[in-house]
Amino acid sequence: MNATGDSLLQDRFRQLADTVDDSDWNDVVSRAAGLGRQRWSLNGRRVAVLAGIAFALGVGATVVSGAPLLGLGAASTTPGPVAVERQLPNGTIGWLFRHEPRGQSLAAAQIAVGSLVGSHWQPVRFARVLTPDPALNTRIVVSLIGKRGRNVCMTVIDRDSGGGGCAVGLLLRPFSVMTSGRMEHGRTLITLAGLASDDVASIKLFLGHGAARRVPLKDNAFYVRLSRPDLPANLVAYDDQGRVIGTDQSVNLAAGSLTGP
Amino acid sequence: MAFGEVSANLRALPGVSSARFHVCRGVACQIKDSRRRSLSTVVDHRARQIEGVYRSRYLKFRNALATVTGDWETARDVVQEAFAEALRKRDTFRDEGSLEAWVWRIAMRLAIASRSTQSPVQLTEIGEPGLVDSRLDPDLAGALRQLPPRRRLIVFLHYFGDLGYGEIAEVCGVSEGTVAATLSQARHDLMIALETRGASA
Repeated sequence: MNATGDSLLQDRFRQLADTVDDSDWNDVVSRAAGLGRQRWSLNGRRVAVLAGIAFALGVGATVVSGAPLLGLGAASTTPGPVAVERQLPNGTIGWLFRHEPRGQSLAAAQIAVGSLVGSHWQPVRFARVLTPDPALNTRIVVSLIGKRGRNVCMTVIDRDSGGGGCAVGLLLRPFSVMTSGRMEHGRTLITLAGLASDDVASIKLFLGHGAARRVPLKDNAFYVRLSRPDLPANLVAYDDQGRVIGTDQSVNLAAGSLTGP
Repeated sequence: MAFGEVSANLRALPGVSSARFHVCRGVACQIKDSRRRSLSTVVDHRARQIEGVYRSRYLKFRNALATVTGDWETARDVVQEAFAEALRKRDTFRDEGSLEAWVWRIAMRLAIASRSTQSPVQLTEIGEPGLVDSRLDPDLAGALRQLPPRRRLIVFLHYFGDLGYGEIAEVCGVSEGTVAATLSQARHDLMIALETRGASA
């Protein structure tokens, strides 16, 4: 079998390939989120109608799926701004690396160092307990671990449970978000907690039903709760001049793995 | 704070499963391996990789899978479902092979399931893959029909799916050598069949 024969076969197969691109990433994300779909064939063309709310993932993603057809379904777009107006390099949290005593100490907050995420991995060099939203009991412990204390961990302590993660170094662009969820009084409660770089002056959460909430942000930590009917949601970071410097919609995809209303 | 509850609360964190949390004894283990990227980058990285495969390879998936499902509509549905499943299960991908080949395996299983009444579906039960519309190239369709189904599938994965030997090997669960030998034999058989048909026409 020579190369000429192979290229001849390639040409013949290429001519048989259907080149009409009917890809739809938003449909994939919606299916991943466990949303029901119904399909009809209308004049030979597949029509997909979302039976529930549509989720979008990624900056600039917009979901519009056959909503006007047959009077069924719903169209949904990512709420709030999705375009980043000012691109920034990786950010950091200055006070943390200067070891400034912001918030509380672990001792004052009665939190054992061994309970921090990352403490079993590397020695904890510095840790402070922050309360982004004074109205809530939730605390965020931000800690530096490792030989030179350059690795950053975040532990979210919410009443009787918690969670978190670590990053080697700190490369905030411009924030890191952790999404978690739990059932409370028969409803799915979703929480967004994270760390924002020094470039972030404020954060807003835009919700699917049109409302927008200011996200409590203090000492570079933020924490906000929402419920499933609030989705899709879009977390938007602004600089001190009100320009959008980052957006995140990963909560919409994460919510797909949660059960309950 | 009990760490049992920590892991439960981490369930919804994309890219970090509770199982992995326990295995690594901390999310940091996983993130340490991710070449100094930020937490959010790591968390979203796999989903974005899957999206990248989808955006760059959608047509290849649909065209190759149509030879298994028998029509374009079902093939499209299979591709959408396969990528949705890949997104849902992305935590289970262990970087032990190509991400694309992993999605191909999911897609292939769904494609076979779309034509099979048996459950669970085995990748070996490939049925009779063939061109969706044999009228477009009756000679090639006829030549392909003379190949054994498994050899035919490998041909379709190579020419429609644009997969290399290694990826086909991963998808089909055979060695690269087997793929190379199978493709070589299939090309040989196809060329002979096409020449015979051309001569007799």
